[in-house]
Order: sequence, then C-alpha cells, then structure tokens
Amino acid sequence: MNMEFDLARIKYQERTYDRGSIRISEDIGEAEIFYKKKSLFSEKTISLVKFRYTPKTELRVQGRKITLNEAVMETEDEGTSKTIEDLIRKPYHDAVKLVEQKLHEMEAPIRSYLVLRAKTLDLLANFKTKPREVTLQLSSMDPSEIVDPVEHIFKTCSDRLAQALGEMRAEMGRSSGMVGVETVQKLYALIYAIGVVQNAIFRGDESSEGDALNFLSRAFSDAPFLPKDLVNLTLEDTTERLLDANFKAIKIVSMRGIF
Amino acid sequence: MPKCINGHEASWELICQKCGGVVNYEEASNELSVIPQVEVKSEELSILSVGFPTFGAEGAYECELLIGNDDEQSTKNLTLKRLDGGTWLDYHRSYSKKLATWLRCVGFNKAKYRVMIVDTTSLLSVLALLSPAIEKNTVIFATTADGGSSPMDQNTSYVSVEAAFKRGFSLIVATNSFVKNVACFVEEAGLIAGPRALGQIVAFQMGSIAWLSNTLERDSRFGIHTHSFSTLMAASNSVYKTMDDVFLIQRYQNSLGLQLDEVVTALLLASSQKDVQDDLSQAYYRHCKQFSNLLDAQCIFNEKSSRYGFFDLFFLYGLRESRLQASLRKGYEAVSSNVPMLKAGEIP
Repeated sequence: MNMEFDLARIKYQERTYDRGSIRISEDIGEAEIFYKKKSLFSEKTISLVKFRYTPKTELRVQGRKITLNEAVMETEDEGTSKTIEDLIRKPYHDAVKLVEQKLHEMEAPIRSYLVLRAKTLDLLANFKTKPREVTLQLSSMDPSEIVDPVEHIFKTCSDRLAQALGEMRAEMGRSSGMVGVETVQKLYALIYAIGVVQNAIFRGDESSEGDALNFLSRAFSDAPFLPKDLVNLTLEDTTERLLDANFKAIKIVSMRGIF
Repeated sequence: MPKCINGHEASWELICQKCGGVVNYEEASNELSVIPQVEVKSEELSILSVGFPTFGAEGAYECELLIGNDDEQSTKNLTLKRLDGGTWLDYHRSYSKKLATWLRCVGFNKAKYRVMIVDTTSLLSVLALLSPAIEKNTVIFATTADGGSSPMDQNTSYVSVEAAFKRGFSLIVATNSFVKNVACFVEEAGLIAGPRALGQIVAFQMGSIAWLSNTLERDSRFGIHTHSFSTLMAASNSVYKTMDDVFLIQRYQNSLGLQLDEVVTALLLASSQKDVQDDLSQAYYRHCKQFSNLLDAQCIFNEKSSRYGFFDLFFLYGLRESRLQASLRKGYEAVSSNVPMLKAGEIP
C-alpha cells in the first residue's frame, strides 16, 4: 500500500526545497521524497531521493521535523510526522517483537537445562551425605528393578541432562538466524559461566565461583553478584537469580547490537 | 577451558586477548554435560536382622526386615505387608524383587563385611537367604527350630537352611531353645538373657569380624558350612578356679550341643587384659586336643581394659557334618507331605 504525505520543507544535500511530499510504499519498505518545481505555467513533482528503509534506518522525529537518513523534512503538523514515523519504524518494531519472542523462546530451554542441572547437583550433594535416602527416594519413583543404585542415579541424571541439553541446543540452532550469531555466542557464554558457578558451589571451589561471577558481571550484568550474595541460596535459586539478572541484560544488549 | 576460534585458551573473555577471535563458549559448554563424580563412603560392616531386633552395633550399618500391616521402607527397615495365611513360599514369591531392590538401594553389599542374623523359623528367612542382593561371603548367624518346635517352624527352618547351603553360605547356628536360655553378663550393664543376649554375643564378634569372615571363608573351602559356638562374657579368674575349667564348661554350653568328633576347625575370639592372654591361650589349645578330627585351631586376642579383670570369650567350631537338617526333618516332612508346595525342592 502506498501512502503520500505533503511536506512543508525539505533539506537534502545542502539544498532546501519549500514544498514537496514523501511517498511510503509499505509493501516493499520504500520511501521516495519529491519536491515541487514551479515554472511559469506549471508545477512539476520531481523525485529527489528514493531508498529502502529497514530496522537500521536512521530516523529522528522532533515535533514537525523529521530526519530520515540525510534528508531533513518538515510536515504540516505533528500528527503527520508521527504517522510517517510509525510507518517507517514498523519494520523495526516488528523485528524487535520477533527477536524478543525468539529470545523468550530460547530462554525457556536454557532455564530448563540449567535449573535441571542445579537440581541434579543438589541431588548429588544430598547423595554424598545421605546416599540411602536418595536412592530409596529415586527407587520409589522408578518401578524398574535397580541393580546398581549409584550407577542408576548417574545414568538417570545423565540421560535427563543430555535430553535437556539437546533440546536447548536445538532451540538455539533454530533461533540463531533470527537473533544473530553474536547473541547466541553470548547466551552460550552465559550458560557456560552459570554452569561453572554451579560446579564451583558443588565442589566448594570459591576461586572458580568468583571468577565466573566476575565474568558474568563484566560481560552482561550491571548489578554484579558476589559469592557472599549466594551463600544462603540453594543451587536452584542461585541459578534462577543469575539467569534473571543476566538474561535481561543480554536481551537489552542484543536489541542494541542487532539494530 | 574455553578456546577462541583460533584455538587460543581464553577463559572468561568474550573476545580472545591474543588474536581478537570470538571465544567459542558453545563448544566449552560441552564440559557441562559431564556430571561430577560423587564418592560415597560406606560403613565397613553392614548387618541385616531378620526375625530379630537390631542391636546397635557401633559404627555398623544395621537394617531390619519386618512383616507389618502395610508396605513401608526406610533406610533402616523394610516392612513387607503381611500375606494372610502366607508361608515362606508366598513371601519369597511376592517380595523377592522388592527386597533385592531395597537391599541394593541401601547399599547393603557396599560394606566390606556383611552379616545377616536370621531366625530361620521366620516367614521371611527363605526370602532373605535366597535374595540375590545378599552376596555369598556374608556371615550368617542363623537360629533354627529344634525338636520342640512346631512342624511348621521346622519346615520353614529346614527350607531356610537348605536355601542357605544351596547359596553356598556358611552358617553360625544356634537353636531357638539355646537362644531362649542363653544369658550373659555384661560389665557395666548387668545380666541379659534371650535374644538380647544373642545380640550382645554377635556384637562382641563384630570387633573381630575380619577374623570371623576369614575363618568362615576358609572353612567353606574345606567344605565346612556349619558352625556352632559357645560364649563366656565377663568371665573372671575369681569365678573359675582354673582356665581349664572355663573351657570345660564351654563343652556344655554349645549352641548346637557339642559332639567332640564332629569338630574340624576351632577359633577362639578373646577379649581380655594382656596378663591373662598366655593362660587363656594355653588352656584353649589344651581344650582343642580333645577334638580328634581337628584340622586347625586359632585364637585371636583383643586387649581390653576391665575394672574387674573380666574377659570375654567366643568359641567357634566348624563341624564336619551337619546334624541340623536331620533334627528338623521330621517336622519338615510332616508339613511337606501334606503340602507338597512347601518342599525344599520348591525353592528356585
């Protein structure tokens, strides 16, 4: 659909035109600016510039004044300027929505994998101190005959984690084209760092925990976590907190980076 | 350790400091799929009681197999729902898998030494002795029916003993009437009798479980699978005139009734002050001379302090031929001739 709006003034490449118009073709994402050339007997509409607009197109609107790439235009009223802005910004808004949706879709399997990993490590920590309780608890959930409970626990945990990891990787692969390779790399960095924090807490390795938390705060979050902030939390809660804080930061950075 | 796309190790950076390449955290995250190994330490000794209460052996893992109104399991006991009119065969058929899974879950076999104390007249005894989760080199203390027991008890007891031998277990045996009458004096605790006294006797041997286990394993290789015992707890020189008197009395306090010519191996586990060890040892070897078919005799001393100079003795006798089954056969056949399903041949 084509839409055309009158312009009161156009400034383009150091020249100023008193009257003109802008035609926006939404279907193909194209904008064309015209100026009116008056002669003695007639008035001609001449194309000044034509370009495709994308989510990356530079657009600034201040009252009636619109700056679009190198062209500066003035409309008859602020309402017209707003309408033009909305039309040109639409691909940007659509893309933002799509990327947000994709990031949201990626967050679920990432969270699911890391939380399952935290629960698994919590279970193993519990297993270290109360092996009989844990194996009995698991056996009551699993009707199959258990030959070696320790092996059974490790196999069950490994299988579940491998499945969650597979699902997460598949979703990351599906969405990478939409959110960009850089964002996917950052997400993997986040996953790795949280995984290292989990391992460090499980092993009581404060040095590794500190390194990984430091990386998270440098790379993603403006509100860094210190090991002491996580002292009284379960591994599951720690994982949730780290995910919440850093995923939000990745979303913001990703939007900035992509557009 | 994460590496950049050019292979440089680059931990905790998004961009490699050496070459400016992107750090590949996707590959590094494969490390996370490895679950940390957990080492579980087990007690050195685990004890399963069947038909007896646990007796609180220090440092050991103790568990109990019970019959109750509902199925219940905890780390300390497995309660199996009572089967109305059930026999040993019904319990074995119904709960074999459940018991094996439970024993594996509680890690009964993880202990270096394993002991089962079983009343072979218990409906659960065949089930326990046939459980594949009880390994062969488990020390079995078995109490059995005797001539005065009911035919049903004799049948269950007979089948249990057969099951134990079929599994290759070596048994340390006492009759139920011996258990009923056994009594011992425990320093600082006083006189205890009956099953509690048996618990005390077993607890005493747990201090020398390695020797006990080793002796039973060796005897098993000699084809000796039945052992009887006698004990003397908190004995004192002031009660017995000579050390020889101590051993003489043991002849009449044997858990199966002692016949001198059937003894082929002998073991004395003694706990005493050091100054009486020589006297005890000499008297023990004099005592062993009366066993005409003896192949080996050993005595193991553990030093203990005693305010009154008391000493504890446990005599274990390996028997060449088992009179056990013969003593139970009458009652066993009385039942199995009427109910063919309850023949020892029915055990898988």
